[in-house]
Amino acid sequence: MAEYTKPIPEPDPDSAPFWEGAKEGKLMLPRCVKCNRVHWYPRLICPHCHSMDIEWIEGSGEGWIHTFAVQHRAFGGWAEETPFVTAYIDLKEGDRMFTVLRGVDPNKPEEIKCGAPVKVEFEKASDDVSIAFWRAV
Amino acid sequence: MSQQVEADVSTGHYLRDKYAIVGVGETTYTRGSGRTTRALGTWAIRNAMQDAGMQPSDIDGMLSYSNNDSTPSPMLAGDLGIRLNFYMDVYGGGSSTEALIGIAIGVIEAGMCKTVAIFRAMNGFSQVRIGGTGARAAAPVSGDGLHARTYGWMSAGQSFSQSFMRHMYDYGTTPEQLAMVKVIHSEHASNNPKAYYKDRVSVDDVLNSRFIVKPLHLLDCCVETDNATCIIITSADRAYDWKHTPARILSVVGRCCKPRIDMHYQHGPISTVAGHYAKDILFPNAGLGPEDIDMTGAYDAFTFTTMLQLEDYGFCAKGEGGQYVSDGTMRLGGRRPNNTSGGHLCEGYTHGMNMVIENVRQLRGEIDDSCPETGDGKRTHTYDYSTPGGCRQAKDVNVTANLGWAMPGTGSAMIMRKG
Ligand SMILES: [Zn+2]
Repeated sequence: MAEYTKPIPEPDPDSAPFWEGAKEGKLMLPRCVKCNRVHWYPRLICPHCHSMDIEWIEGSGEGWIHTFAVQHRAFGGWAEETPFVTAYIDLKEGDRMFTVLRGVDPNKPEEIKCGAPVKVEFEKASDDVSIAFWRAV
Repeated sequence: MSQQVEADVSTGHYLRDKYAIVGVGETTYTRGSGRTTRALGTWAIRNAMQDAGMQPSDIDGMLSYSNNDSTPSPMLAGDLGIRLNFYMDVYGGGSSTEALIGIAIGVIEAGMCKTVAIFRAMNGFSQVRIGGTGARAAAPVSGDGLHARTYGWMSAGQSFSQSFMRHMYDYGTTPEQLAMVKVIHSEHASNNPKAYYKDRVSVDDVLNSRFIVKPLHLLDCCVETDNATCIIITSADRAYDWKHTPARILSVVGRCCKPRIDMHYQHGPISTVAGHYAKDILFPNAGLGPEDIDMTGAYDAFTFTTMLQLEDYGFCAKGEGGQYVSDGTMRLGGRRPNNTSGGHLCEGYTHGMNMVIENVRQLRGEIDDSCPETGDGKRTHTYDYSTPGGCRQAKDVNVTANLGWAMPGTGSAMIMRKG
């Protein structure tokens, strides 16, 4: 496997279950037991009802492109990948997730559509961290 | 249940018109100042004090903001021989100007001091630039960075561009319409001897410049410069002791936020910006509406930020911002000129200060353009805006609005009237 040259996040206690799932190719999402709503990103307290009773569920890995942009300038390891497409994904379970979109042509942005379906995939960045990317289907 | 309950944030109207801006000043706008932020800051404060006709004993409060790229108030006060009764140096960039003006009003109202100099000193080109180099890139990827830097997002343009794209998708807003923001601001800058970029540009110039992050071309993005700026605030009862007609403050909003501000993009319409919420403080507290505003200073970190704010503050209907910014309304001589100095796109990057300074001078009727001087620092304005090097003073400016931007989720604003 080629060395992963882009920034690798440092998991924290609130997000640890997400990263554990990512290693196994699962999109783990935090859901409030009291109000049943999913929120992204992970945190101690439900932003909707302030319950501290949060469970982790395996998400469907399905979503839709909410919006996107084509990055022609970037920094560090990402500089070598320009142009690439960043996007917000509307998760099937609720809330939005930021990502780099795969399976699209950054030189043909007119072909990328808000609302188009996407599926999650994971790339191993290190022994401890796999990173979620979304691919147009 | 949601904790995002709408609060009544109106202040009552008891501070409306009770405070004023009485002095403004700046350094040159350069790339490569060759000076420290300490030196630049004292230079801008001195110029603002001279503008008002003040001695060191006339200032007893100081406020500044920075992104760890400035020098704190006590050092500048010492350099200038000013004894302070109050100072505070806060963290922040865009949208701090109006917020700090509100803080200045509060501390004067509390009896903590009488007159406050607010400054922003920055070597925004030669020292600390916006973007992904230096210390910001070296920091560990955690917290917010986990959702951003992991995916290559470091700079403001990278982060805002998705909101801009969705606006184009939802409302059919075109690159040509947005380019007109730069075109109009460049026309204004061509009549501003201080402006860093004085050349007028065309829509094609903008569209033919390279993409930084689509939909942003290079010329959709503001200039980065080295400069310092200063604004002096005092109470209305002291505001007429100085050289110029004061700019009376009718209302102010500071760092007003969208819901779930931490990552506001994750919730609600992504092209709605903080102005949607700020307008409900700004206009009721002033007792005015958008139709009463003669001139705007809508923050132009990018062409899109000007448009989104004008739209969400209600200067046009949601979705009609593209039309508003391209139909000539914002031009000098138009119905409601915007950023007559050339703003951040052309005059210089100050994190909002220069747009307030410009509106203060417009309200005085004493814009510093190239019209003939009549002695005592005044000019005979021609009101001919047609050619570079011409007039920049708008006619009949009685009420102005400044719309400051930190990011889509946070904004500040202020309405002033001619004193
Ligand atoms: Zn809940």
